[in-house]
Amino acid sequence: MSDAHGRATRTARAPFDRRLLPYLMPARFALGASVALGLVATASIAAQAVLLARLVASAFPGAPAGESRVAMLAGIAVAAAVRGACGLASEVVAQRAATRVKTGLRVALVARTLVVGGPGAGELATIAGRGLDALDVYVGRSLPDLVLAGATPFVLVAVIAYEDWLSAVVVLVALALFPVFGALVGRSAGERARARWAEVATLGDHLVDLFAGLPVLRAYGRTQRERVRVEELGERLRRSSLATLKVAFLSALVLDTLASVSTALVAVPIGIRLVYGAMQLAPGLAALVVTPEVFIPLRRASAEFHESAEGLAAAAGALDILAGPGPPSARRIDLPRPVGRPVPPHVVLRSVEVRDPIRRTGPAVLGGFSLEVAAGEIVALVGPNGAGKSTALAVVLGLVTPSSGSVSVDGVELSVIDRDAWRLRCAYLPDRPTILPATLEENLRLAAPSASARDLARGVSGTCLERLVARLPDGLATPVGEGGWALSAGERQRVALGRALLRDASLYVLDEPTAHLDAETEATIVAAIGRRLDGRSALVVTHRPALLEIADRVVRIEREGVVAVPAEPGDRALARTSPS
Amino acid sequence: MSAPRSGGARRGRSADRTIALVRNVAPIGPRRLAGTLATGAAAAASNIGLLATSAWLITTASSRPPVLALSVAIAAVQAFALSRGLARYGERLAVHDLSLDVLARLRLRLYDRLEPLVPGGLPSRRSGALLSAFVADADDVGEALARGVTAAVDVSVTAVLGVALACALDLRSGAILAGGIVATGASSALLAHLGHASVGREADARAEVADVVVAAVRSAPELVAHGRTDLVVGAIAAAQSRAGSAAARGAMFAGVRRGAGVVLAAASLVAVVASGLGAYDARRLSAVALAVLVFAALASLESCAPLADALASMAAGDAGARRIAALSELEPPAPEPVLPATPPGRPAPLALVDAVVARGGGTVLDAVSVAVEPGRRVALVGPSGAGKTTAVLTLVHFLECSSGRATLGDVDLAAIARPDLRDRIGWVPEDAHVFRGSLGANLRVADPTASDDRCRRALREVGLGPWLASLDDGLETRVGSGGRPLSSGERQRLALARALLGDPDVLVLDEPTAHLDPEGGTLVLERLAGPADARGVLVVSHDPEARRHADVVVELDRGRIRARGTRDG
Repeated sequence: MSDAHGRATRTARAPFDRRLLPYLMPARFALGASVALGLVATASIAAQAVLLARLVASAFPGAPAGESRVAMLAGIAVAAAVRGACGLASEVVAQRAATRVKTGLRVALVARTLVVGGPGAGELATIAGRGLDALDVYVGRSLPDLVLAGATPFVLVAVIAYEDWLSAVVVLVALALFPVFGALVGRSAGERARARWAEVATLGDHLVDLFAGLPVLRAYGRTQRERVRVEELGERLRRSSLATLKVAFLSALVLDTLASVSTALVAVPIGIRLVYGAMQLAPGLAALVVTPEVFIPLRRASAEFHESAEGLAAAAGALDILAGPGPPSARRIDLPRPVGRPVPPHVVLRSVEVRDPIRRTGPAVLGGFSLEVAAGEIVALVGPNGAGKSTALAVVLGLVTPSSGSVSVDGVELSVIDRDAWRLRCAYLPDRPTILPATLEENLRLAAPSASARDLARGVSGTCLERLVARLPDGLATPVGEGGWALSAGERQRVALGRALLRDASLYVLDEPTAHLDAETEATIVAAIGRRLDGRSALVVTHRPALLEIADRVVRIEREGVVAVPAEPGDRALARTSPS
Repeated sequence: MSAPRSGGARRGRSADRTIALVRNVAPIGPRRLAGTLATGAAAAASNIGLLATSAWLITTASSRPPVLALSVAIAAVQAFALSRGLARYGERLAVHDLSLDVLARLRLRLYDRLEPLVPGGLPSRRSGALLSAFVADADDVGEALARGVTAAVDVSVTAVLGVALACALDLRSGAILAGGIVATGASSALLAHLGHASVGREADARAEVADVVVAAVRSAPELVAHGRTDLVVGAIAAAQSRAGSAAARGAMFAGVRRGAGVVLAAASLVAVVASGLGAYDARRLSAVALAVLVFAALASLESCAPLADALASMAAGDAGARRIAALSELEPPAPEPVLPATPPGRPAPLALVDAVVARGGGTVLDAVSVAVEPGRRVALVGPSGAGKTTAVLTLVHFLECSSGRATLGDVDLAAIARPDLRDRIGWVPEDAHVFRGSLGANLRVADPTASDDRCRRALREVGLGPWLASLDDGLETRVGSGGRPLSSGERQRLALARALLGDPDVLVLDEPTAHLDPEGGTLVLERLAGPADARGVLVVSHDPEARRHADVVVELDRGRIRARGTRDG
């Protein structure tokens, strides 16, 4: 969380991120319409002001005759109706623009994940999920208002100039002063505000953290002690937020004051010129009414700039990820399509190194790892937590592209093989399997939609799911997962294993297939795995003795870049040519 | 993700829940409120004053009086110009000060309300995320309050001053202005109320997109590997299009609100101007007074514009307020004793005797008896859903039995005060929270007085010795959110070390080795009994290793004990 905030404070400096441009293109008409509507609304404001001034002036001696009050009142009403319509339309258009941009970014992010995949998915999910919603205000409001802030003041100044050029000069001078004041306030306040926002974010995270750990605090009887900290942190957060706001509101104060002072500076000379008969009342009044309107777009843009920082940060987060290296797009060659019984592949990994695809820094997730799975061989992969076992599996499947080293299948580099064709031959059980919001049967058939009913029944019994099926109200047709029947961790694991085993693959890649199981269930499941894997290639991460027994060979993987060495080769493994 | 956080379809009537919650939980003192209102009033008054005096100045000037007659008005115009900005600045700060203060108090009350409910009394299992969500709800309430108060103060003060000024000039025009302001405000409120359901639907649709995307990203490897990305691509497109149409409906509501506000305000202005012109023609109003009336009306009607948005944003706070308010309806599953009993002498066995525990409307434990004698290791095993975690929560008194007993020695757990249980029972949940802060501070949750040496020893006992040695900052290493990322194994060992530091008589461990590799798991299990083997240990596990290390194995199935045996039997 603080990381996201940290990034927010780094990137929220410029009001616009150039990399966003391609994603704004689909929304260009909506954004253009938004600006156009803003200009029309401004014109109607000016019209209303001028008409109002003429109307009032008509009551004074010396007013030009022949102007119909009713017509002027009707004009005001029409101007208001136009402005109201603009208001309605601009909301609709702003929403459309925001939705277009968000959809584009989200689709790009998800598409990228579905191709590149790999670790760091949690952060990506946050950004692609709720994170992008923060763009609503930025795309829908701030961007059009930023453009309008540059245009509408001058339109209004032109109106003032038409009525009374001297007032227009006063307003122009004030407008010219605005960036000067803004820079003065901004330079000193900007840096301080950013530091403060970071502090506010940290304190907020701290509070959230205490709430999240409430069960632990209660277990140790520390809730009252930590309540004092909640109070103290809350108080610090309050003070620090207020201090931040003091600075943040300063630019609004400058603008407000500038607007007020300009109004006064316009009003007083007009009054004096009227006294000396140097001008007419109607233009003077019109200039007076239009003057405060000149500053409103500026104030709105500056207020929204603060509000849209969050959206900009979200966009920056998404764009950072999208700017990362994509999948290798070298020419692909198709593997020969399997005909009849699948042929078990021969997979070789040589000095494979993997780095975090999102952060691209820090130590390697998998360092200098070599492995061979001969055709029809079952290789067990063991090693301590964090050694990169799961990453090694993802590399074999082409889900993660190594930063160095090579992966080959039947002697052909994986990087030039059509990945989809390769994966058609593989079945996969990840370390954190997915249960889709669908029926249990659909979940089991995910990897093998055309499996026969008999295979399905065998899969259910092989993974000891009969009891679950019996317990479910509609058996296999019961919806499970989000919004359906909640499965326990063990059940999810077995459903996902059943799914992988149901697929008629020539390479099985299984991550801890018997974690979370009791001994009895484990024995049944190991037997089912053994039957399925017979004659196929397999790479299985496991710590369980029962599963290690069916492996031909056990490979140990060590933490921190130690090249893995084969450990205690089994009898069958010895009979093969050992990997070079 | 059920009960209190569930969707917005059944949202409350309007935005008044925020106010009700604030009134109940963090009432605002009258003096405080008066101070905030005063700054708001000053800002609003300056606004009207600036426009009205400017109008007076210019129109009076047109009758060519001596310049001296205008000097007071000139000074007033300049004063109002300066005071408007300053007063608005003051108002914004006062309002935010108020709402931040309310927020701080609200958070504290939230903490108090949540405390007796965790971990057994909230409907969701992933309590960490749920608890964080409540903090976000409180933030929403604070934000809604700030916006709501600002808009309310602006509108009411400007309206009152504008109407008063208009009435003083011409009663009929003043009445028309008052009617116009009321109509504009009422239409804003009505439209915000009507759009309320759409705000809720929009939030739900967004949440759905987020959920679908998160699920898609999480499941990406499996779907890609099996060539079934079509399953989620379709789901994302469907969720996005639903969210898009919900947002379009929401934008329509917001647009109508905005448009109606503008049109009604303008209609009121036209009516006031027409009435003023009528009064002028009837010689009831001078030309200068007409000008002042028109500009005062303009300023008061313009102040109504932000009301619509403020009312809509209060609706967002309302959803959070409702969820927080709903907490007070939940029963604490294991309340603290009113008159705590003296805890039994040490060492004392921890036991469930014929315990029946009901959760979520069903019986989860049915007549279960388990005893953890000092120095004995008990393994509680069974398939998922058998009630193992419920048994653990009952043994550490986060749940109570509806019949039967949970006892420490011969005293009911329900009668022992929580601080007295602290050094008797150590509890390590399956996904123990790691606090944001140093490694040492995380350990010292169990014992604030523990020395660095004891902390290091506890870490070594759970096999984190080499890991600790590899850290540059040792015990000062930052962990938790924003700190050094921990693997699930490290996280779990840290929680174990924390429990060991408390040096409890009995350790209750929920799946202590689920994320550990076998060597590490065995090591941990062997050391848990402590140097003198005096500690009682209850281990809940699927892991066959856990059975091997246990003196007694109790097997649960669907809430009942299926088998009971010793290590050899």
